Amino acid sequence: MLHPDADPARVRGHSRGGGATSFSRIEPLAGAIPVSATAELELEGLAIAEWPDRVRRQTHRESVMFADLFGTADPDGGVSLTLLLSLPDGGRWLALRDRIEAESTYPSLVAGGFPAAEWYEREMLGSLGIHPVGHPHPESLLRGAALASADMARFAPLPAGGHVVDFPLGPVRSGIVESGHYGIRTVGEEIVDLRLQLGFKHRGVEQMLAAVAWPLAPRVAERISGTDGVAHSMAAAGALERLLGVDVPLRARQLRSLFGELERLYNHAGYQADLCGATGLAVAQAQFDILKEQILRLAARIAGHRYLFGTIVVGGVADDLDDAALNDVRDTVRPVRDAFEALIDLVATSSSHQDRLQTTGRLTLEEATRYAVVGPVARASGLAVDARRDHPYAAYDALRPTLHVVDGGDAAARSQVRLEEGLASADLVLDLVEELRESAPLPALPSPASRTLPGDTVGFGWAEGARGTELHWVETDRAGAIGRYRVRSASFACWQAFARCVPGDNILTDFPIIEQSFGLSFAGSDR
Amino acid sequence: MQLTWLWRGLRTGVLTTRYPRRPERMPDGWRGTAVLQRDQCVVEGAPPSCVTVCLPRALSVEETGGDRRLRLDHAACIACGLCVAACPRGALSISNEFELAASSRARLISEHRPKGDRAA
Ligand code: SF4
Repeated sequence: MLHPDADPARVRGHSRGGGATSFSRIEPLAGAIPVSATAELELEGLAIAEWPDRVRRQTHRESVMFADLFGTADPDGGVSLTLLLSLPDGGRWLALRDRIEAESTYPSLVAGGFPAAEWYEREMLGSLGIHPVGHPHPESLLRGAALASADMARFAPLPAGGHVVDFPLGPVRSGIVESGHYGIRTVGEEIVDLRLQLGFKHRGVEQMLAAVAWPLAPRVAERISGTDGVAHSMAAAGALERLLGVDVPLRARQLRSLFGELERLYNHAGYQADLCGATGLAVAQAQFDILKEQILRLAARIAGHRYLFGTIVVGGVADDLDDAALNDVRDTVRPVRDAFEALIDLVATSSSHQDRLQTTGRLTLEEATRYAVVGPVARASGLAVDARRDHPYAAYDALRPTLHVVDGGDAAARSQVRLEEGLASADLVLDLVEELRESAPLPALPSPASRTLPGDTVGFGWAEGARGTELHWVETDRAGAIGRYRVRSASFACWQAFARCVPGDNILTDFPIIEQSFGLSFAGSDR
Repeated sequence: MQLTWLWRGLRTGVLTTRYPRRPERMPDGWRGTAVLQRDQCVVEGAPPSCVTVCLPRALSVEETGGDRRLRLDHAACIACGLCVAACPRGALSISNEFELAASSRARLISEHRPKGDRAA
């Protein structure tokens, strides 16, 4: 649907600092690409220079959250830019779209009032060569080109001597920590700046997803980041199902929620184990690891894979769970839930642990909103966002999960949110087991795998993983082949804020705790 | 508080197992590496359907001087099971095997040349 304001002839340029700058937009305005199925996503063609105004008008009516900004290289040499916004009040998404010439310039959205767009624009600068005019740090985000600093200008080379020390950390680290590099700058004990180098785990997953036969997309998507496998494969399947106009039967949706909640549960347990490891609470670390392992072993028994890979397919789920499997889920999750609950009390009263977490790595509500963070990181800073509630998918329209939102914004708040959500996920799993006993068996539907995708269409899917909302956007070309596959991972959305909340009030020994309290994934972000 | 943790840890006891000294099996239905039933495989199709679905290219066809061999690289196999469904002759199956440590790269590769397919 085109917005009535979208008159391509009206806006040709964007004026800054008195002098007019011409931006090389090309016709036609690519807003005509149809969105398949549902009223959940509205796609609107509009000149980029008008986007800030358009969003401002929308904000007067309802709350609007930045979700993604990405470019699509068109075969004829242009680049289509898409700004994706979440409109949680109405459970809808809004996408604004415009087309510019490749290797050209466009007015930076950071300058236009979207601070969250900063890394997204820098990523496009590196991958598509399009230049955001007015961006505060117009340098590529890609590895080897430039680094993602909290404040690039501050991280200028300093003269030797003095009291400033630079600590390089990573990309190769001990244990099973993923590859990522931090440059930590300290004066005395205090961390004064941090730069973050991403991209060591870049595998070109978006390109792979565009190249494989589409029914296999969930198999590739679950490998973006292993511990978010269910969320990513669910988002991929959702995007393709909306593209094809396929309805998923209720039982399959319930099973998807069950797998999603099991994934959240083992992640929350693993997160607490790692956080307790960071503060030196060794017994608690082992206790949470035991719970995580119990869920992973359950997954191996019921789904044939410890990380639940292979469970989600386009159109539904790979296999149903019989009564014996459902009993196994109940009998495993119930004691895990009780143990988790007992550990919550113990952790909350462990002063050596809590002392390290409180006031550490504080991310204010203002910053969380500014950088449009998602998941538990957002909810721990008082930002009430959760795709399961805001944009119900799978069986969440009926389940209505409770949101756990706290105000602190520090490591203690993030830990608290993850503790409460772990317990809530276990409860949801137990509820789902009972509902699955009642629900009608999976109907034998023909698999959509033999169908071809409709041409020139957009499909969009999402899922709330343990780290936040994973977004998958699929565009087809005229022939129905996937022309662009975009993945916005929860980790990418949160790393940007992480780099900003470390410098300032924290000391060097807080760093592993802040890092662990965010609990983000490099692989998910690097793709 | 430290005593509470200590008590909890002691009460939990030892959960680690004696593996690898005492071998362990994965549960039935757990997906380990793919295995090829040599007597079933005829390496038909160009490329065979199992090769087409194999995302990490663990399955491939090697052709040298009229010899056509199916090659299964267990180091690359991600145990997805897609090839099992793709093979019309049921020549591939998913095993329960997870102990894939090997002293050489070559030991992780199975090659199969169907009988009677040798160059004259
Ligand atoms: S199980 Fe998957 S990865 Fe392994 S050989 Fe078969 S198709 Fe390839």
